[in-house]
Amino acid sequence: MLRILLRKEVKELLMERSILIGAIIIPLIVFPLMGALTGLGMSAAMEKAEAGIIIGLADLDKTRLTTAELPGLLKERGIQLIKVECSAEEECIEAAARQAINIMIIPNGFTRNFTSGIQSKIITIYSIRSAAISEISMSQRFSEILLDSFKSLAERVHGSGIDPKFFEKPVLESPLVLYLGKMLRAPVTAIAATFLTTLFGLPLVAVMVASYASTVSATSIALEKESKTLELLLTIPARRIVILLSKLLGTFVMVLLSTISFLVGFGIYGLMIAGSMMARIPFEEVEIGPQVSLTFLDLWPSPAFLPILVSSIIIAMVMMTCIGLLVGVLGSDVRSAQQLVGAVTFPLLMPPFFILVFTPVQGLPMDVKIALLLDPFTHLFLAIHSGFAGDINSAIISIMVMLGFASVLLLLSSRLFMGERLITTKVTFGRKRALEA
Amino acid sequence: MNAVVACGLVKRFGSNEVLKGISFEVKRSEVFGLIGPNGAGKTTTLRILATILRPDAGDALIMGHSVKDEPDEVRKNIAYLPEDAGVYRHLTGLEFLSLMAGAYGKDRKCVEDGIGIAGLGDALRKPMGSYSKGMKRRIMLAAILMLRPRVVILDEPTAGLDVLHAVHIRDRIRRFVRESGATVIVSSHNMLEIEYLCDRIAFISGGRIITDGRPEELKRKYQAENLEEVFERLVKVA
Repeated sequence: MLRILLRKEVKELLMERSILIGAIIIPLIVFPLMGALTGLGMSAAMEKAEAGIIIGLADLDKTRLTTAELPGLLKERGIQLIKVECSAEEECIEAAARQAINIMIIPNGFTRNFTSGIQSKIITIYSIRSAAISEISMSQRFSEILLDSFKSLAERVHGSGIDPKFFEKPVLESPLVLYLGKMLRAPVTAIAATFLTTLFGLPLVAVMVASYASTVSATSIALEKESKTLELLLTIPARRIVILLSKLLGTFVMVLLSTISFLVGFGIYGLMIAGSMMARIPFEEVEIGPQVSLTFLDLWPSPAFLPILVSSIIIAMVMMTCIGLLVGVLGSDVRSAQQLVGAVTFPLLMPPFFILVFTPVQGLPMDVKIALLLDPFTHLFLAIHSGFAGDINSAIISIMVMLGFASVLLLLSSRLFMGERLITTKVTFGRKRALEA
Repeated sequence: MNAVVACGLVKRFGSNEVLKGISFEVKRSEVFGLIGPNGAGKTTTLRILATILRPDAGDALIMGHSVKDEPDEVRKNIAYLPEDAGVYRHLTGLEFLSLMAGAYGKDRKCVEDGIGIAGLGDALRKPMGSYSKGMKRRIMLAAILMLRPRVVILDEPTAGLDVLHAVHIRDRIRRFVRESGATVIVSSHNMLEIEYLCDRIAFISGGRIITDGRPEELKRKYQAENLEEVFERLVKVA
């Protein structure tokens, strides 16, 4: 009996096309696609990190050790040094900002201490321009290579009689991170952790809000179809555009309530994580103390970022609401509409979200870049990233592109409401289905 | 001027031609019935008159306004009760009546009329999701009739209802016609209901009107004792 009933259940569920598409076919297509695209992004990031790092060297000691031996060791490890003329820390910071490169300052007397087996201090200035993981990982890699090179240098200078304690930590790195015109006295690791909570978190909020908008609007229209109230609604003496607007605004109200709730919850989560856990990273190698405390507030960009963030999320909501309406009418009921809208929005949101976390769009192969730029939601993440990095012009361009996409989607939605497709459209998968006459 | 003039209505869904040139006229204050087997084209015809569907050919005038060219004007003159129309589950009956009155720019008096037509008592203060099928149909009909539209389009208003609810709805329709002088187009599979309500009927089959006339005329013409027999004979002919 169980076998008979089970066969019926499986057959019924598999024949339900929305389940077949949403739960089985789409994951088979989307996840490999996402894996491929994210892999490409990660590869590009890693290649960039491994391709050779150019570092400015401000050598205030000017000995054979610092002008020949150290550069030689670093070159062997893929780091190319260029000479930077600066003598004071502030001067070097200005040079790093101007030339957009990381700079290592070797202070006067470094060689004397180093050859005497005394731990020596170096200052590193990390100039972070974008929040992509590729750039962070490049800076982190530089930090690791630097420590490794100094260990090799210590071994070469002191030979087998080296003090193990000195060998373990021959230099004390004093890191400075230059980001958005701010100077943060913290290791890159701490900045990376804060970046992740901020620049992973903010797009995540956008993803959640946008997804919720599409689900609410799809549910709204599908509910009208399922409960058979749509026909009544369409015959009231109101212009169709007014009916569409009421749907859009109703969705916005719901999504705004949800967003406020989400932001409060997520904000508390972010503050807790950023303030208490992720940003309190023990970092014994650096001079600035055993622990570094950073919150996303320390990294908060220019005042223009907030309007950019809010406007890009609102436009994304508009786009997703329209997509929800357009897809929602295809479903014959709420369940199938929600399945379909998930199947459509997931591939639109997730690939750009994941890829742009790993690498800036400029670092991607051309074909991937074009594919991503055709996705309206890529511009949502670009707007947030650019706005956060203080590149207001690029953020505005991304917002304008989103507005263009939103206008097209609004036009399509209004055409849907003007005609009879709202009533007659159903997913037919190649077979035209006539209405019951 | 006739209240409704349908002229050569054609409607296709893909390759399926559902209406093949439907034409009829309905006089003011007349109750006009559309009967026919399932799939004959009754609902499609009513949906075109209600401006939900657009005809591929032909046109229909409601109070002189074209459903193709002036749908907004048509909607001001009609009220449509779709077949098996659902309700907003979380609204109370009273809220729904107020919503409909507001949508048509009517005042509180209209809602009071609706309360009377529905005859649902205290249940009007409960969410409509808790209503039985008959109660849902009564609140929907009340919301339509209280608006006092010039043309009422009713698609199977009593389908699936028990006798008490069906009788209530038929009585309300009849009383409404008598009091308001509105024009009603109604489709139904219930021939007794059609005979009770309609001044004139048209029989549709295969997207065409096969015959029309007063119930008595049709019974005479087809030598039948009642409309069910007329229906049976017409189906065989069609």
